Amino acid sequence: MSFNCRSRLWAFLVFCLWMPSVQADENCDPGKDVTRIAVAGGSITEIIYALGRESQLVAVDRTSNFPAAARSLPSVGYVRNLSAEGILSLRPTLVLGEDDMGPPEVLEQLASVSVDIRTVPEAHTPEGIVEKFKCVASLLGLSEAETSPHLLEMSRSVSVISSFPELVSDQDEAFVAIILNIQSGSPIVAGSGTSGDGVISMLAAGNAFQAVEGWKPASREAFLAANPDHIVITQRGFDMAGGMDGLGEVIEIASTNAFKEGRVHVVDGMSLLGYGPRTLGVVLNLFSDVFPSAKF
Amino acid sequence: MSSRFSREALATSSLLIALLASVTVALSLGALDLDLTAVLLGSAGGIDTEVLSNIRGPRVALAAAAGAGLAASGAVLQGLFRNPLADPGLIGVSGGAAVGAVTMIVLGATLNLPPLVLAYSIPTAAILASLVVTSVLFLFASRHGSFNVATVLLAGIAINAIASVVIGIFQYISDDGQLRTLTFWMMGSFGRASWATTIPAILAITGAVFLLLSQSRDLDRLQLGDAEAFYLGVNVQRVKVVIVFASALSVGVAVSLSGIIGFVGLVVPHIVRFVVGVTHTSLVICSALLGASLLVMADLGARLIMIPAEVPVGLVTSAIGGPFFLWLIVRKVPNAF
Amino acid sequence: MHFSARNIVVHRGGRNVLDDVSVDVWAGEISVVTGPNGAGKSTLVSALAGYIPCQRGTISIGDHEVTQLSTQELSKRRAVMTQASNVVFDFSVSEILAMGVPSAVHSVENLREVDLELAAECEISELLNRKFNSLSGGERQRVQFCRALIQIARNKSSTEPRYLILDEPTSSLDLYHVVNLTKILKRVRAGNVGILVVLHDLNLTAYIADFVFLLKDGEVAGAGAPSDVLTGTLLSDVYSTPVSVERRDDRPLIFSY
Repeated sequence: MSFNCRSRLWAFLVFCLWMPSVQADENCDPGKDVTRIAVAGGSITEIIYALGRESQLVAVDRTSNFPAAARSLPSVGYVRNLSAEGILSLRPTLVLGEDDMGPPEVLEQLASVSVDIRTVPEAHTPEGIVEKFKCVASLLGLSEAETSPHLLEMSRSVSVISSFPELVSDQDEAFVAIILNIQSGSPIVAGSGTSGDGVISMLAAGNAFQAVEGWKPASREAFLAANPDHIVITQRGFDMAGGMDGLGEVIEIASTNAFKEGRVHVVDGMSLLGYGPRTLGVVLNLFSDVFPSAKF
Repeated sequence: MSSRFSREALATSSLLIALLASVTVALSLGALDLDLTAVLLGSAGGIDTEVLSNIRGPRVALAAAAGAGLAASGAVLQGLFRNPLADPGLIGVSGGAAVGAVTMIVLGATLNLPPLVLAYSIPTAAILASLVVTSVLFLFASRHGSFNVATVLLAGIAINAIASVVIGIFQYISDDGQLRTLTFWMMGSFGRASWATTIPAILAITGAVFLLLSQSRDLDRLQLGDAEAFYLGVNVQRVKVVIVFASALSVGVAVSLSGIIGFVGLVVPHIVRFVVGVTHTSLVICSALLGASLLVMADLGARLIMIPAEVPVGLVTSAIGGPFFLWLIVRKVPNAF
Repeated sequence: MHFSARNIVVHRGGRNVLDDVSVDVWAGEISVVTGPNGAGKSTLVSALAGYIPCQRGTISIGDHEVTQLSTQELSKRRAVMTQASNVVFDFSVSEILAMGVPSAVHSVENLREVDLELAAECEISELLNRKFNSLSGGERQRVQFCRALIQIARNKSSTEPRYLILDEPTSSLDLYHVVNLTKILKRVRAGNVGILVVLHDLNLTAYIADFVFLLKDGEVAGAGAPSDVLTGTLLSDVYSTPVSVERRDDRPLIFSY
């Protein structure tokens, strides 16, 4: 598959597939009743724990795996395939999620039973991470005074990250590939417009798969042609592939400079791509790994 | 002979009672703990009434309608093709409906349609697609002036192949998230039911089943052969057209609203033949009733197995239908079909 | 008023399977169509019965051409027994018989005394509750024959004759049942019914035919009374093998080996 010669129509079509579609209320006004919250989205769960409000959680989805305590909460299924009655059986007063909540009919059913459903906006920028945090805090009814202590650390990280482009000289330019996992022998890579692409931008690096739109399987040739300088892979993808040995069996990965020179970085998927409280910290660590000479 | 008539009447009334019982049980149980009698009497509080009327109600109704439509279609298609292994999936109708629905799902995301418009346009696209498939099948098969069943089967295989390709393309161009949505959709679920889509579905499927019933007597005669049925006064061409269109309608509606649910159309008619008999009038009625009950219970199982999450109902029907079908074959091989 | 094919041509697979064939079936008579394999006998049955179109010629039943009659109207006037004898699903013999009853309502209950008498005549009364597929070939033939009789009996008209077309109804029958079938045909013929039978057995033909049509290669090689058509010279020519014919009890006795 050639990533380059797509017709404009296809590109437009695929680009639009990625765009978030508004399903539910997307504002951050405080919820009417936040005593029983059901969450569909791991990063939101993390934020609620960070805010110390986990006692208000009654149910989470399958992507909510951090902190470990969250895994013992009742599950409402996968974020794109929620169960209306399942959610309602836990009598939530507020349902929180990101734009990938679904299916739309289930959200309609919940709305028809007058459940408060709120979508937390997500932007793939450092500021977006802060906004998301603030939005969730506001939804839960926290005041600015209560929220700001949590934001201090985050704001520091944001300003450090915004200085990255200056720290990286032209000679140091690096191309990074982010791999979600390997399916049927093909690595699923972060193309433009993805959460992974946002992370790479934050790193002030180039996306080796800029020409791809969305998360896509990369063909052997395409991967070899891209020849990233650094490979970032999720922990889950790494384990599923069989660790470093397993990756070594994937020819296109083993042939890259990144693999040969040991520039493969394994990071927990949700912390890297969830744009939750941990993401900024992960980006900072990753920057040191990718650009060891740049000091901040 | 009168004993035989009362056996069919007994079977029909038992199945009717079974359906009412299944529906009652399915309405009473679910992830949410509600007291059915309390809700019906109006004494239940909170969201219980809404859950019953807006969420559980349409879903149980859709499961019953889809089960009836799929089972009745399977019964007549087996008669039409004179083949015990015929199934709505075989002639390409469910594949075609799936293509229509998948196209609209992807297109709808592109055009950013509001959810309610999307919810209506997906079933519409699926029914249109299944009717297009049926028309293509009909044009193919009646090229030489007669409705050739073998040609329909071959065309069905071709259509299923094309459907796989089209769905595959959509799966390929969609990103990881859309892909998961498509995958879940295809596995079959009644969780997306609402009255706005379920009531038209019930009307359409009821109409289709009555159409199929009207052809039952002639379908019996058709078992002797096309020419033999003709000699007995059957308008063979018309019977085949009506059957294919009515099947396409009921299967198209079911697939468009709930995804692909297998085995119901294949297995239920065999159970009915085993217990009740092979004449198509009672076969269609009893298959519809049994299919409705089974799918209502399968959906209940799908809702209860992993509370508060749900298992796709297509997996439940395959998990039970597959081994059951094997058992049926083993049991029946010694006797003639 | 009778059932006839006039100069019909049926073209299939690049050749004329029937070429300028004329056949008559009169009420009260048994017409037999016979001839070698591939002569077009079964095609003639299909054409007469209205199932396949003729490129030329006309087929009339009573005052009407068959092309002008609807499927249902045709089924009231004539019944056909073909050589097919297989059903995929497990129908009982009663259910098969009931298919001959012209009714849109439910099956077996439609069988009445008159039908059961016919079943007794065909000697299948003890088979009524058996599954059709469990029967032997001969038993199945008798059931199909009875079904055609029921169709005729139920469509009886006081004014118009009815017609029975049988395609090799004796191929699996033993001697006893062949004799029984001929008795039934003679009884049926007397009730204002015209019968056309396709047979291979030339002696049986000689026995029951009032009129014989001898087909060869899609054409009528001979038509007339049995003793006129079933002659040594004609038969030897048509069957391409020496055939001897003697007379016995005032009818031809045919043998070849």
